[in-house]
Amino acid sequence: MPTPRRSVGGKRPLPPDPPAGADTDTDAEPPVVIRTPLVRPPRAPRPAPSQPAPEEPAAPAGLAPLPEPPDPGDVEVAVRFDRPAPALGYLGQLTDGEAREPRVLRGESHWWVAAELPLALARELAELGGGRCHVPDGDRLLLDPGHGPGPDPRLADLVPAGSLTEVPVVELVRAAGLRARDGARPRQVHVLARRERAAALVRRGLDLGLGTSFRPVRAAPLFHAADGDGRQAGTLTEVRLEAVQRDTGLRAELPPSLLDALDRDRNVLACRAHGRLMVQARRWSPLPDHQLAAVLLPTVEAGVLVLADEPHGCWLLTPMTEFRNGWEIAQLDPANRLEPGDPALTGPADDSAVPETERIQVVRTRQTGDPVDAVLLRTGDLRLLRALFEGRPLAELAFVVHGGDRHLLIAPGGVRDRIPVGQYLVALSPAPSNAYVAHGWRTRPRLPAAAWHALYEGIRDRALVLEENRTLVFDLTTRRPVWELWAGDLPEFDEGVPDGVPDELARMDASDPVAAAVPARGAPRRPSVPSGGGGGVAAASENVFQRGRRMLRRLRGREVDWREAAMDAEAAGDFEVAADLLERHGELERAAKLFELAAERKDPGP
Amino acid sequence: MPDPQLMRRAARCYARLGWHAEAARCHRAAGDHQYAARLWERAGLPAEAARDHLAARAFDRAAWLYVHEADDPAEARAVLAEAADAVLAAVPMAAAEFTASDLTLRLVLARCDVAEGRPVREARAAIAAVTDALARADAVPGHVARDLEDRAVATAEAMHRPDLVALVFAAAVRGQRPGAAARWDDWSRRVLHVPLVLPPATAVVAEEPAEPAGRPLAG
Repeated sequence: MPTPRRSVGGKRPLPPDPPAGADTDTDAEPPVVIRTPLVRPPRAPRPAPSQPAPEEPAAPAGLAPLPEPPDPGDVEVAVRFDRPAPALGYLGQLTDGEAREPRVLRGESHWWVAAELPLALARELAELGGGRCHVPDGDRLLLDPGHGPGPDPRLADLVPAGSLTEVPVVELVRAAGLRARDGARPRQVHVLARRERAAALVRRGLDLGLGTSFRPVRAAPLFHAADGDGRQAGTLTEVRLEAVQRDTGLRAELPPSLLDALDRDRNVLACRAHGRLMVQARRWSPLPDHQLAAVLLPTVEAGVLVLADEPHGCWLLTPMTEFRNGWEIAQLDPANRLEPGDPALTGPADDSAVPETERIQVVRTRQTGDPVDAVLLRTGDLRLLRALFEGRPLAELAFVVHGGDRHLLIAPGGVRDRIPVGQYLVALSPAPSNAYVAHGWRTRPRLPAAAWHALYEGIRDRALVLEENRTLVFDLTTRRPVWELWAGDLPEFDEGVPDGVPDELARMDASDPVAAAVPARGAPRRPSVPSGGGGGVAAASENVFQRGRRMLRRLRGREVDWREAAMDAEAAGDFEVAADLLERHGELERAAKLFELAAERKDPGP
Repeated sequence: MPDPQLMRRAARCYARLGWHAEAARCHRAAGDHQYAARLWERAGLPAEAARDHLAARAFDRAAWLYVHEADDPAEARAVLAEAADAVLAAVPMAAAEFTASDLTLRLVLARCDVAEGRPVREARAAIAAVTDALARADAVPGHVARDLEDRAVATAEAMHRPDLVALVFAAAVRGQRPGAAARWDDWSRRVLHVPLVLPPATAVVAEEPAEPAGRPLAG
């Protein structure tokens, strides 16, 4: 609302007529508006008094605002605070909305904040922090009664304005200090440490998969301590740890345990950064960071300000270099040093210089929770499989590949069930997996999935089980369904026809040239139906149909079982087909796993 | 980002197995954050559900889950602050809108106050505002009303104020919210071990100006 600014310190005129609609508002409850997503910040200011609210439900008792004097426009108001922190908070609220220019004054034992603003607003804000409003009157300050049009010079307490001296806002910031309070977990912290600590910190950051960078800085004490507490300029290392966005759409955060550890460690200082201002993590000034930066940064020409609690103190940092990536120091070890090229290393004529490779070893690992992709069985274990599998769903799916003294139990989508026999194997890559290693072991060096895929391309029909001293090779084409281990011969067949009838049928078949040409096995043959005139052609065509049907039936009989098909599709890397087969046959867990693999393979990474 | 169609099929398999957490993980990878959030809730992992609600920009649900289910009011407040930042950065808002009372938000903040052991004055005021809104059929649309009612009841229960719970239910019945009487009866049987006897609906509406609170409980 445009109101004429009053001259400061002059006689305050009588309030003009209240503008229509500005002061008729006597409610605290604005109209109910439901919106999603939510838009009000947690610390929203109270409803602005000038906000019109036409249709209004009756406000509940207890929230009705104090009746407000007619708005006389902005006046100079000086607010007295006993303690610096609320004074700074008040200052922050003043400068948050509009570009007012408050001044900070120092009395004998009080802090004063003076600014031009509506008296009612000043009362509201000051009351929150326990401040007392004063209005200048000549060279005096009159205590505001807190209601009505303003202080009456005849009744109010007086404070001589001359006893106050103006001080920079920085003084108030210093006096208010920092308070410990939890906030949202940050995405990034800057840690100041001496260099012997910094190296370990960088390694830790890299271990945790954080974006880690560092730079040496020159640190000089800020606010040049007059009491000479012995702090002198020196160099420190600034390590920047940054959470890396992994999942799309989710917030990246630093691990809370790391922040806790940094907070407890008194030899390092973790800060959050706001431009050229850094404030100790989990410490907050009453002033928000951006206002703090606006107040403090003009006081220094260059460098980064660090505000921190005891025992760290406040520092002015001058970066000595740009940020360098953390791995530059973490991977520095003698083996990687750069030496002048040795002529003896290069081959005499051919320039196919292949770097020395390391033999792949299988070593112990502490990793747990691997899935059971396959099981390695001893010969004696095979006898147990019947007791474990008979009547279980896995018997439908699993295959055994026989080897010398070890046998491999596999299933499309992996075995998954933790059966109480054999040695569990985990596939070394999610790609078509034909290289396995036992639980509790891994390869050194670790190889990416692409490497195993290349291996797979070379030995498509073999499965490898990597052990410490040997590698077992299984021929996957010799796999047999697991139920064959306990399924023996069927009982003797009895054809169930009287003696002599088979001979008779065979004689009748022999008289039928077409049927004789295509003998069908298995199904008992039906004698051809004799028919009348022209029956020869009809019978022949009928027999062609029958033959077709029989061939079809035989082909169906040879059709690949869906389990075989799933196994083949998985081995060929066609996870989607394998998963589809498994899903249709109710093997949901394996199907889901394969769908996931297929999804990850179909579009690897953004 | 993995192929969303296949991830969805994986999620469907897991859901048919009843493995809600796995299904939610797949839906999250497919970018279906709303499905994922619902499944996380069903799996009993409210903090994960809140992360997905947040990704789906359902800030109020995320904040409510953080404070009410995951018992993390600080995170809930942070979410609301982020929501305010996100929306305010996108749309310059008038002061009237900025300060407009948003009941959903107020309830979340009230629940935060209760969880943090702060004074419950604001919480009481928020529940009173919700009660007012529920009692007027045209004040809030139906699906919002149900959320408001549930959350107001939960907040009042957290405050150990069954009288406020009864006020909320009574307001919902007066506002003719579907099923409100049945929910009130359920609550009464569960908490007070007394079945609820309500006067006929017309009588309740007619009585509205008089004494809305407490009376139906006497039955």
